[in-house]
Amino acid sequence: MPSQSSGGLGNLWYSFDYGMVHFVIFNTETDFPNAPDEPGGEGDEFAGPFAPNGTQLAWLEKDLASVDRKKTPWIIVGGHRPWYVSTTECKECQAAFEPIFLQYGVDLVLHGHKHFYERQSAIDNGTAQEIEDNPTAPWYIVNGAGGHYDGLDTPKLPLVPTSRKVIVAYGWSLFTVHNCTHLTTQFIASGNNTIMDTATLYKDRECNVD
Amino acid sequence: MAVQSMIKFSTNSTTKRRNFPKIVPIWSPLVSLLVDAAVDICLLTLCQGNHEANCDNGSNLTICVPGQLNFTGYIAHWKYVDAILNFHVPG
Repeated sequence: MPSQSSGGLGNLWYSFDYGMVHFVIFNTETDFPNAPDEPGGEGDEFAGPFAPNGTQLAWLEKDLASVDRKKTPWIIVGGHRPWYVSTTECKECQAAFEPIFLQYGVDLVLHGHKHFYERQSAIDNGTAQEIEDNPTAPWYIVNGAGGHYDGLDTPKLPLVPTSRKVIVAYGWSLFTVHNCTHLTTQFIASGNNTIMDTATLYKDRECNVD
Repeated sequence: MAVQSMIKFSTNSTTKRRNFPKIVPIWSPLVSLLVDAAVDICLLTLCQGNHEANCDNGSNLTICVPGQLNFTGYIAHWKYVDAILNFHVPG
């Protein structure tokens, strides 16, 4: 994992550039205030912390602040537990990470944990922004439907107001970065390669991508 | 320039012990023993482990072996090399 070169920590948090995208992997389990898997957290894992207090969030802010948006206009981040999803939400994760993602203009936040697919709108502190309208807030997608021994999970009804598409079937996500303004995702069924969802994010900006 | 990325954030399916048919009763105990041993080795050293990946979906962590707790298996297994060809590292 490119953690040493990006100043991260092992395979727990790190970043790298690929094409027009700056990717960040962050840890929603430990190493932030009230982290769910740490002793005292809502879970029973009693795991970590793996670095001194505040290390992950300080690294995350420094990493995002250093991104050259002219070269890598897109920032895509991925962490396990979602805070915008139509079932149990990780509010501790939201408190720790959402302000940072808003501050640094993250484009797309990817989550797993819940074993179904749910595409949200872009969201700013619970308020939806539509992805085709040049949102200022990050777009949120949950895809935990790759496969799990317990099978698929069931979303709770009614769906959260920011939900735009729910699919309860095994599948994977394909992301296509067309240019510095358009990014498309598709949800593809593992069983028969059917494209079950397609959505494109539009950002009104200029860049100097090679 | 178009860049495509395929990303899966779901957990891997667990390794489960299998039931063997009893058509070869002499050999089946031995086969089961070998498979059980392999599964145990996998659980302790090779598999992803921890959290919901290979042991429990959040309700009964007492069934998880030490290699599946405190991200031990995850940290030990998913440790690919840092410098990747064609990847530009920021900074």
